[in-house]
Amino acid sequence: MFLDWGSITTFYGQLLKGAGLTLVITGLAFAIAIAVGLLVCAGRISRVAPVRWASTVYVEVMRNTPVLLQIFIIFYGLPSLGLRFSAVTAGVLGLGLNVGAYLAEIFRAGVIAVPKGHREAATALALSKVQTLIWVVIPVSLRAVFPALSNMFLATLLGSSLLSVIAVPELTGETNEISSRTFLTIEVYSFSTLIYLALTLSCSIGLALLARWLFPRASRS
Amino acid sequence: MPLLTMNNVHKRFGALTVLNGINMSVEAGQVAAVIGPSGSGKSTLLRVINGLEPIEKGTIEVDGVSTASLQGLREVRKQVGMVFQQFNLFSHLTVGGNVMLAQRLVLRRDKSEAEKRARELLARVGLEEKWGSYPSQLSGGQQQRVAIARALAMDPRIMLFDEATSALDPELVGEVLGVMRSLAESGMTMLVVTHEMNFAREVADRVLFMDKGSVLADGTPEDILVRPTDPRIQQFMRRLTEH
Repeated sequence: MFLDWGSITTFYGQLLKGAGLTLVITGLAFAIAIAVGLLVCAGRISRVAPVRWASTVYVEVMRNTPVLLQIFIIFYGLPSLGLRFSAVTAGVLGLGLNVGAYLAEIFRAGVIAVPKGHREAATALALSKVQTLIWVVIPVSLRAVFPALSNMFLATLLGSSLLSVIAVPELTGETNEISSRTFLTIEVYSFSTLIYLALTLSCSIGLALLARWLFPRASRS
Repeated sequence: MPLLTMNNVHKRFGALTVLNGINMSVEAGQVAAVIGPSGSGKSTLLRVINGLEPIEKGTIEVDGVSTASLQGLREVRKQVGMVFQQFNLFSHLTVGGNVMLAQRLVLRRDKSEAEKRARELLARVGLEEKWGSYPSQLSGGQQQRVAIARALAMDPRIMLFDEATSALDPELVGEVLGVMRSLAESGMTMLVVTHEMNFAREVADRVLFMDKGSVLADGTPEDILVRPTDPRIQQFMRRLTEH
């Protein structure tokens, strides 16, 4: 058995480009997920029953069906309704809509984690509902859910490899392409695995540092 | 004209009537203690004033402003400071941040003005050196004093104390009562729900005894606490001294 590690150097550029796209996709998908998550979370705790039901249906459908099928529906299914997306757009959208359902539940847990007394104190101090939300509820719940959010971010990064199936040239896609062209299968997949590991570990460290900066130790209730 | 007026105020929680037609008023500068058995509606009496609990019937006015409209209620909340049993400091903000937040957001004070006022008030409650600490780093008594400073920073016309010392370790009660006492001496109008009978006797101008959602008796501390005539008050006072 002969492993040709040396040849991999030829593909550094292509793999790094793939890794770059992976990060971009992760960032965009997570941004969409946050927006969707906030919206659906607001729906889940809404006083209007139909809004609550619709949000619950959204969360349950998205969390209980394969994300790959959701991406297929957007990429292969929607064009027959006249909605045509590029592979990257469809992938980012599919991933973001899916992760958004998980974030909605995380945000909801965060809102529940805010002690009732915080809201009452804000009300007694004549803060408006919006001011209470922005200055009290969101910061306190963000701190409570930050570890869960960090996990979801890493899961999104890893999940973005699914987009290789609809031919998005992110890291896994580029790896597939190099492997099928050169038959350096073990070498190139192992190397990609290391790149993923480097990406997730640096994100983990970055998020941990961010948490330390955002939430001084003593500010935890 | 009284500073606070409550007219025929009714409040129910489901089938349970918590306030059963409250009529009372508090004059500016007065310190009124509210006592009574648990479940008699004392806390609710305070909580309806700034609308933490909505009322079913009746009217509440602070300084001539009715709480019936949302706009009136918001105005009243600015005039009414509240101190809670559990302190309810914002855990994500420092002591300084707690005392400045509403000044900035509600009174629209600029940062230096809000900070100046916050530092003055923290000095007044003896905690100026805790400016940068978080609530979790303070004792219960210190947290409650910060909460008092936070409420005072809004320059309220009247302060409501909802069992402000009930959650404190016994050795920390004194420091909070001391602050409340000096506040009373400075002329602040106060409505104080309390189980501290000594405080009620020494500091209050007036004691209201509540039972089953009504004000059963309203008089001087002497009348209510020392020589009560009503058998229910006599029984309540006996129970307090019976351990």
